[in-house]
Amino acid sequence: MDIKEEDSENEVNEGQAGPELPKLARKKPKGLLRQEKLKDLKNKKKIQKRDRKLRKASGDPKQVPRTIENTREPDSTVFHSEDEDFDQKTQDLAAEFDHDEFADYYSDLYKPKVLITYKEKPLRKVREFGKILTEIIPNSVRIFRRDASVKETIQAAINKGYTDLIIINEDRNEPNGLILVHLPDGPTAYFRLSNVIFPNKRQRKEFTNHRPEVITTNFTTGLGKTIARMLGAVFHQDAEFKGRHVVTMHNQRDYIFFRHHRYKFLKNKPYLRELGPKFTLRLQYLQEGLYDPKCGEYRWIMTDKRHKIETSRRRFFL
Amino acid sequence: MAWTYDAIIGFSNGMLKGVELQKNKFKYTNLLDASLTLNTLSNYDENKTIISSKKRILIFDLNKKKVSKRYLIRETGNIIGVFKKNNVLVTGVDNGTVVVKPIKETKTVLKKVTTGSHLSCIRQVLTLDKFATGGNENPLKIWDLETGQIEFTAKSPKPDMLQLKQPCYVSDIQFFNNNKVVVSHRHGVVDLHDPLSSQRRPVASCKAEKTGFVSLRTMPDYSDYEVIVGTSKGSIFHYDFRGKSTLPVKTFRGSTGSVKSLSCISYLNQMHVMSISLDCHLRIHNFISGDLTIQDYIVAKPLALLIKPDEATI
Repeated sequence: MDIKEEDSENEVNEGQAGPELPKLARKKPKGLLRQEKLKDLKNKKKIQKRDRKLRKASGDPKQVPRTIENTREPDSTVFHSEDEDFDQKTQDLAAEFDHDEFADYYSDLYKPKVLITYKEKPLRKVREFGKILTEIIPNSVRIFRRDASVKETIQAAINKGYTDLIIINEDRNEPNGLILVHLPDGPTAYFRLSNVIFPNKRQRKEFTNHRPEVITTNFTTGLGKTIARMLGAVFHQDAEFKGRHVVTMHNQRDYIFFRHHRYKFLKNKPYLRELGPKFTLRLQYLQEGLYDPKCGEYRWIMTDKRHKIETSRRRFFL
Repeated sequence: MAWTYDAIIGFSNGMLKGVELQKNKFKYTNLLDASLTLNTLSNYDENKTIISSKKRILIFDLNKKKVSKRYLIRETGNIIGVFKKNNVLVTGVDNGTVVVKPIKETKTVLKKVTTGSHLSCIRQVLTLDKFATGGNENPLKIWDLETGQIEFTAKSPKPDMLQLKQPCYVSDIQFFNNNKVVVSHRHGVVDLHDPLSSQRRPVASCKAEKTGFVSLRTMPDYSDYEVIVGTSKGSIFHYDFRGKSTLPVKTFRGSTGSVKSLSCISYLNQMHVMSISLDCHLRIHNFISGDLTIQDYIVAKPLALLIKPDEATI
């Protein structure tokens, strides 16, 4: 018996400690690898679906997906109702908004009057863009500023009683920048303009002269609120609801999406019809006072120090 | 002692707040709601401060939390700075006139001095009866308060190598204890002038690329060569005029808006730099390590900062 046991032990030892020959690592063909991956994915989805069904059956709450928005880094200028000095802060913000540059507009003391100009010698596309903007923004005029500088244009606009000034820049026949100046004493904002899609013929036919409604959504931080107030102050305060036009400026991950729709209620359900133009704005700087790139003071600036500011892709400023 | 606060902040919406430094925290107390934009703050005496808005000057009692006196300046332009010297209030208006008023009578005007257009800064010389002015295309001038005569004028900056004229835009002036003057420019230059010497161009100067300087403060430890400067894009530089290099010794980072005012303060027995910036934050940096110690969101736009004065200076 003893010998036998020893024998079996020996065998086992041999099997464990014997020299391991390297297996011939044959490379799998690429197509096969892809197939395996697809299989794994399918299995994973199956399991997820089964879990979802089980959860639904047992009545557990739905799971929230992890997105960049809901894992965004906390910002000190966003208010939460559970903060200890929440009331004091909201009170302060209301007091600040009562005294800032847009207080007159939001207390309905004046009607905005907007001037739209371009770069020095605008090409066709950017002129077309300005023309469409004048059709959307009520009480707006567009001019060519010829060789007048931006500062001279601002002074002339103040003398003529304009309240806002928009300057559109272009590069290789594509509109790429937008300066928005609130007159007569600031602030100035510079936006990068991208993805401009013009309305087509059918959409242009549906344009009317009615004053549109304006919606600015998803601006949460202190800077974002200022920008939202600034963008809102370009448009007229009382909209003409007969026209059923709505201009939306929606902020998502610091990009401001501009959309223009015509809406209709059918059986208490809203139906939207896009009118265009579509474009996105990205804030580059917000400056105190009138346009003065050399000596001006900035409230927030990204140019020249983007790498210092953009430390994480989950950090947003608007 | 009425100065229970470590600092006082004036806001653009008319609020005046006292700040107390606690461990890793600020404590705020509302002092006044004037609903005027509070541009500048300066010391009056032990328990009073001078507040100025666009056209008005208020003298605020910190004990009673009340405005004890009001003055009105009838000039075309906004007030850019006020200080008290002996028995008069000296006020600078941005159209270039400097108004001298007696403290006791609110309506009479003793004297008016015209100092050139586009004034942006006025400061007193601590030990003498003099004041300094500067502005846009208006280089540093030192005036005698009694006679109203110019004592020193800085020469406009040297033309560059192509003999082109350089711009001059004074944003802030400070004095060292040996009566040398530091001037910060909006174009990113800090100059050290010596009014006692015959040289009217700066004795030493430091430069920065792509930023302008907004605020300036000398160090409180009686060193006559060091200075901290706040820029229009949000960083704070520490300059030393003794070295040959024109680069900053140290940089305090963290702000994303223009540094409106800054000051040195001792906190937890170490020197710190306190600053307010236009992105509505109050910050404290450690002076030695350069790290950001505390920052807090103060909601409204701050314009002026006044630190608790030393008992010797009042």
